[in-house]
Amino acid sequence: MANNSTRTAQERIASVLLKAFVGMTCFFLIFPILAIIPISFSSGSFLSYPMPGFSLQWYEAVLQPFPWLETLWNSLFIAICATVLATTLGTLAAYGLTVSRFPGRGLVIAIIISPLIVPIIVVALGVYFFFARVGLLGTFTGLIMAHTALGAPFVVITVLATLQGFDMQLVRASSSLGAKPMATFRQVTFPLIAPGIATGALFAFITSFDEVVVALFVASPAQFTLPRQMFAGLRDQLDPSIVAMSTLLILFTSLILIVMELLRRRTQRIMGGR
Amino acid sequence: MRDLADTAPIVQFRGIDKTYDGDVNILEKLDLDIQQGEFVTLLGPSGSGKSTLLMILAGFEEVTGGEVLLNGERLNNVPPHKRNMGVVFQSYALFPHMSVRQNVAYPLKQRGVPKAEIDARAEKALDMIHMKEFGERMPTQLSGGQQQRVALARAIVYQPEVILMDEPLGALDKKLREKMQIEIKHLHEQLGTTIVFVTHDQSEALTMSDRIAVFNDGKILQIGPPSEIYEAPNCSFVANFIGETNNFSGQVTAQSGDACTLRMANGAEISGQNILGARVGDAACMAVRPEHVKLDLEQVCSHALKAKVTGVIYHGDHIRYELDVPGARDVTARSNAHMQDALPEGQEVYIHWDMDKGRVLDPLSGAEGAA
Amino acid sequence: MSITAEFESDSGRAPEVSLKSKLRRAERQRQLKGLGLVAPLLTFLLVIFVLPIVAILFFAVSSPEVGEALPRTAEAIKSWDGKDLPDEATYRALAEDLAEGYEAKTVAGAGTRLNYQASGFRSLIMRTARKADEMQAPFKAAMIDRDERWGEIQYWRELQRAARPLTPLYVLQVLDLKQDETGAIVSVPENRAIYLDYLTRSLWISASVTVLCLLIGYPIAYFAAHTTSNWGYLVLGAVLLPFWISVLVRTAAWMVVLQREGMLNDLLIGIGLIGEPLQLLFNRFAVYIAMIHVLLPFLVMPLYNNMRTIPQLHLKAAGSLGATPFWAFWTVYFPQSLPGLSAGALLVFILALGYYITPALVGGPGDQMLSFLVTQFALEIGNWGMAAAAAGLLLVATLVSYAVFRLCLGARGFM
Repeated sequence: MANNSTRTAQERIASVLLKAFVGMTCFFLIFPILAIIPISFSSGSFLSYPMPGFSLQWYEAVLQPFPWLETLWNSLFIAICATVLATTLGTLAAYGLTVSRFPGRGLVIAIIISPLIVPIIVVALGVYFFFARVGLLGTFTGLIMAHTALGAPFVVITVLATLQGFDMQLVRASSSLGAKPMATFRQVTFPLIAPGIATGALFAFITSFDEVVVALFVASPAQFTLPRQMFAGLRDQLDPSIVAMSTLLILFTSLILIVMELLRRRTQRIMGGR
Repeated sequence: MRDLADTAPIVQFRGIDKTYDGDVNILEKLDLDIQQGEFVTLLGPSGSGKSTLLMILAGFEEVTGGEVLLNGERLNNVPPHKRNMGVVFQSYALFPHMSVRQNVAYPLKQRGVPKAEIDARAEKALDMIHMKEFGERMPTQLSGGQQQRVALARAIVYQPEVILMDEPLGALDKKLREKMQIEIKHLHEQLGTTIVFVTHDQSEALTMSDRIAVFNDGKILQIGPPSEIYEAPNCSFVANFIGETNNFSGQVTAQSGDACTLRMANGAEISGQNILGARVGDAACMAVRPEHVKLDLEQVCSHALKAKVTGVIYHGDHIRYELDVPGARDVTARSNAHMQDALPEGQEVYIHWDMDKGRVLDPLSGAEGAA
Repeated sequence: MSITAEFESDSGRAPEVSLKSKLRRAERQRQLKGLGLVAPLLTFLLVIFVLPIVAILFFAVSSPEVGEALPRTAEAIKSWDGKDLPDEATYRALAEDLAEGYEAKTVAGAGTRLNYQASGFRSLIMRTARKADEMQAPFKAAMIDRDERWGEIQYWRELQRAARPLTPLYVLQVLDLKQDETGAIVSVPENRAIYLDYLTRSLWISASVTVLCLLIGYPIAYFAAHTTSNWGYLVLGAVLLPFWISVLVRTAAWMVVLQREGMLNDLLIGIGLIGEPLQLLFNRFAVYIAMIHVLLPFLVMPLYNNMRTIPQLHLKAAGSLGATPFWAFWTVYFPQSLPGLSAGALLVFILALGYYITPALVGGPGDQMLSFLVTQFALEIGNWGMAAAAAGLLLVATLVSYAVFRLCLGARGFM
């Protein structure tokens, strides 16, 4: 949109309308998220303005061991385990898909990304049937495995994309300089694709950390995750402690986003600003 | 060059000012007339304003001041699609979702030309650029040179009054570029359309143009036929930008009629034509083309300079000597001698040139000295 | 690294090996290596993901309950021709099965299963089973004496159908169909045709949300992709931030904003547009708002990435060739943005189709989609056959939509 070209009046009007529309949409996207933050500091117990006063009571309520902190730890534990598993399996697979074009590669890719296409409820029900058979219902292992399956496709996609931008000449150069394959991977390939792996890992983490439906089916109260707890709370009654927890989660997510942006810049710097 | 003196100019730029931020002038009080049927090249380094002027003519940029006339009518607020000019872009800008034929037919479609006529004219345009067999291909299936041809066909198919080309050959390799230069030249002769061509490649400008306008810092420094621009540059910038030039900087010590004498930093004196009317005491710079520098083993005339051969480079059709001349930098000479007759490295020589081949111009600024 | 390593290992071999077979071996080794690296994830997904989904499709048609709880009856009734009441041996088998099953407490499951087939069957089974161990030959008379429904041929037909290991019952039921007495497939009466609505509603809501996202997302992506100012990044941030924030947090936010005492009602009353607070939650409006908020980034991101690759120069070129600005946009720009558009639309549609959380929290009873049906049958009712059938229907709907998008619009989807 070079604003110096010869433009007709209609074009100018179109440009103003576009900007107004974009502004309104951004407001629609951001407003509800920002609007709930002040309410979490309310001294009243209703979720409406004007607030009767300022108080941290709802944060106190949310920082109690039961149920909020316990479910938070469950969520973190499950998400971290699932992330480590998904990242390891996903990175290996992406590397394998890059170095060779074996027969059936297309089918393998289709299977690997299918968790993104299949509705989550179908996954949850299937996993429920399966876990019921093998005794994984109501276990951390079961939940971690299910979340790994949901997060791994993200890792594969991001690492595959990073590897496509990775100059395979570097691998040849490294081995021509006398590095053994493992040393080449450790010292050349890995450092260069690490930001891609980290991005994939963050996707996997968020996927698990934000997941409700599978938890709804396979978790027993001992494994209730934070989203599961919030879902129950929201169905039951909207109370300010959920809003306080939401505010904490917004902060947490923003922090993760900043980390990701820093990683992205680092990748851009190394890969030569693509 | 054609005789164009008595026809009215088809395009006129009058006092064009262009600035993006109000501080830096991209173009400054620029005047330029382009005659009907003329091939005019806007030549200059990047950032000199030549492309901006082209984009103003095409209607993609607005002027800050001044006016643009087409056939005597103001163009200033006419949007691009009503200007009837053909633009060939450096990146070709072929529409990737349309076949070659659809690309070429596009401008005719916009003009509501009947279907049958569209087909016939597109076919003819493709034939003109020898791309008849490629009509059904998609642009991505073509080589760079072929894409270039399609872009050309698309710009000429609706017979625009003026064809604008913005570095159209910049992305091609040297051989192909030279071939396309000749083809475009032929096309120009066939169609007789006015062409405004932007390039930073001086050899391209020299081979193709009826007239060249040399740009620097938003101004036209010199405009004229290629031979005039090359042989009679009116300033140091033009002399250095077009072709190779040896620069001898110094102070004017004597002046008589068309000639003047320059004393270099080391005290040696040289003479040449006084182009800009420099007066005694003025700093100035003499430009001498390498092919005009003569080498002798003995001092054959009084104003010859002492020099030493530091490099001998064989170019096939000529030999290039790199010379160390006290008081001047990076002096080179061209010789058509055979290699076996070449002077050896380290040879002490005297260099001189005919009086009218040394042109005393404005002193070099730092940037030009490095160019 | 692989290439060099393999060439080195090959170079030491006997010279009679032809170049072609060397090449083949090198290629094979590379393929094995690639496959070896992919194998762990592939195996994991096959077990944790693919197998369970295949299991769902199986459970949607499987009917093990009657065969397991009443094995002798199932065997005896297999070859019954269904014309007259079964023979004494079948009655006897059922009486024995019921007696044992009552003892082993397995008979209730079979009763529930039979009740899907014909209502009242569960009570019939339980009532008979309680007294089954007291029954004496002739069993036929004893059972009809206990409950005369055992003398009705209809119940035996349903029992025969339910005793088969596979059943079309759930699949038919979820499509509002049933088998009549003769086994022909017919529609259920209109007042009981309630399940297909969930499918049509899912498709309708998904399509609406997709279209709305397209209308809202296209200008957004266009602005973000082509503005020369830093506003582009801000707009992109505004689209992406909600994307990363938990769906539950966002849904909670909308519940706060849209509730009766919420900000939107306050605002509308404040500017005098309405006198009484409106019911903004638990209806279709809230579902659309919340779903668009969640799904818009999925449309904008692929579209933005696509638009960034479209040179603005093409619009200039079209202009110079005589196209008006709108026409240049429509003939040159828009077609080039179609890949991103269809990829985004595909993502939004497919994700919307399987939505559960948002409609469950902000929608009313009339706004629930297929996913709700699955949870309802699985977690509330415990009818796993129906849950599996509904999930299977959702899966098929998703795959068909995916195929339609890919074939008709050439959407490339996730990769």
